[in-house]
Amino acid sequence: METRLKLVAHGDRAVDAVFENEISEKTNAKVIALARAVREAAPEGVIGCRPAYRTLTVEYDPMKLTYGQLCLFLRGFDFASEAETAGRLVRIPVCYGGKFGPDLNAAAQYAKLSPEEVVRRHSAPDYRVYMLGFMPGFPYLGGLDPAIACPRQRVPRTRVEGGSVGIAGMQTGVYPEPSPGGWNIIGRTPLRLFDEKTRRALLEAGDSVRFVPIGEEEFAAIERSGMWK
Amino acid sequence: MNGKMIEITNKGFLTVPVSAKRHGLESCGVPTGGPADPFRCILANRLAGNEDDAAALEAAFTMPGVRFSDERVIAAVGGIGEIAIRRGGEELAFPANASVRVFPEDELISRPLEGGMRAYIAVSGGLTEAGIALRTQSAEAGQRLGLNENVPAVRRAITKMPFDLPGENAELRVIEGVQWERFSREGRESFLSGEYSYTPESSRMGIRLEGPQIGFKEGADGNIISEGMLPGDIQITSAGQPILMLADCPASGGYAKIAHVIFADLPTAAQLQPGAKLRFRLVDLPAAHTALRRLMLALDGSIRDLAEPDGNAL
Repeated sequence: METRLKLVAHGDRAVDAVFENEISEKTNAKVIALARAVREAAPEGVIGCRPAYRTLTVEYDPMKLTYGQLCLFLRGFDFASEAETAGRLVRIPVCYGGKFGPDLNAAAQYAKLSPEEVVRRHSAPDYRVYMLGFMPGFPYLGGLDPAIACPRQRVPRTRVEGGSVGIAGMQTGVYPEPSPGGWNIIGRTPLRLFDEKTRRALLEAGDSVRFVPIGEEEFAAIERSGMWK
Repeated sequence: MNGKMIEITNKGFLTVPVSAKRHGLESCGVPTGGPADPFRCILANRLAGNEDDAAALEAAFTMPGVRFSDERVIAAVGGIGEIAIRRGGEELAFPANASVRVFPEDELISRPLEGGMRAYIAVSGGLTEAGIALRTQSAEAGQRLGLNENVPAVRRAITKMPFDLPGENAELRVIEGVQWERFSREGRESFLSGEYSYTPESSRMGIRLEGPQIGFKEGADGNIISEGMLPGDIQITSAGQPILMLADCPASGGYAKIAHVIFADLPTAAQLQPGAKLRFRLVDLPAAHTALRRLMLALDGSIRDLAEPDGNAL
């Protein structure tokens, strides 16, 4: 049961809808449901919204819409009647190990498992995309098997290639573009998580992700054609 | 060089093409972007006869060198009193904060800025949106940037500047941050009574400040579950020092936010220079919105059309 929605002024041009202080699918689902409602029926003056783990930041133009009007609109959303719309399941091909996953062996050693077992456990679950952030298209994923969690590299690499799939602590994720980074890189996907030209992200908050192991040849084929079944 | 473009002849220190237009990509983790000082960019655009959100150049520390390829009206607003144009063999000076007509082969000359961190250079018609990278990218010498069709522009000047450049001592109005309650009473008092200096580790992403340490309530620290972040947010790092976010701040962040600079004071924040001393004053949300309405009215009343001296040269 949702009691009164908690709303907080985030500066003078945004309102945060704030849910339970936890990382959980249940809480994040409320954020996503409210974000969807805002996108579908936003009153004039709403500029955009940023779903996060447990908050939805809604930007508005106070010259067009008052804080009170926006709060009234957000409070009108009925969580109870809103059946949770399942996000999409997006399959992401990953070539594990070798030149694409230089830290796979180290991660396996840390977990006291074989590299094959790390790959199996990493590609088994459906991960939830809680939010996108840090860099365009970067998914904050939840659902990593604790058996393959491993600490960040002590010295971050100065360059991690775009598409790299990494583990840091209990998090796993995909670098959308080259960047310095301290995650343990266990593989790489040929898919683009964010396309600068079309300005589209592969994923959105609320989606599920499953990593599908592929070989180097298939990696090259997908990279060439840009196509993935 | 044919018409409908400009050429960067000198990038100065950092010159970025910026556009205030939004793309609805904030939920994809794309930073807000756009001009760090949105209001001076609006003024430059209005002087050049453009819409408020037309794309323009943002210069930091130094004016860029820019060569024009057709007749346009341009205007510079920000940390600059005068602009210099090379025309033929001559160097001509024109006042900033007013429109200036330029002709093919005219060149805006690179000069250090004074009195403010940033200046906006608008060109009548505006830069094409296609030339604006989704994320800020510095223009480079030799780079050409497309212009839209020209728009008719009359001679205009700012006769009443709606805000001053901040100088060495500045005050920013803030409203309570979304994590205000996470800070100790002493921490909040330090923040509201202390003086904070602008450190060199600052950019369009944010301004790192240094001053009295800001502490958290017992049992609390600066780490929160990552959530949406906006220009104007003031995060407190684990070391107890503030970072004031600007246009290119990441779309999300995981440090607690003690306060938010009100939109009407963002121009002051964006014009602070290294060494500046800063204080914060708490206001409530209605006061912030009143300040914004006043600023928008002041913006509307700031520009006057001037008579063209001879119908051609401005």
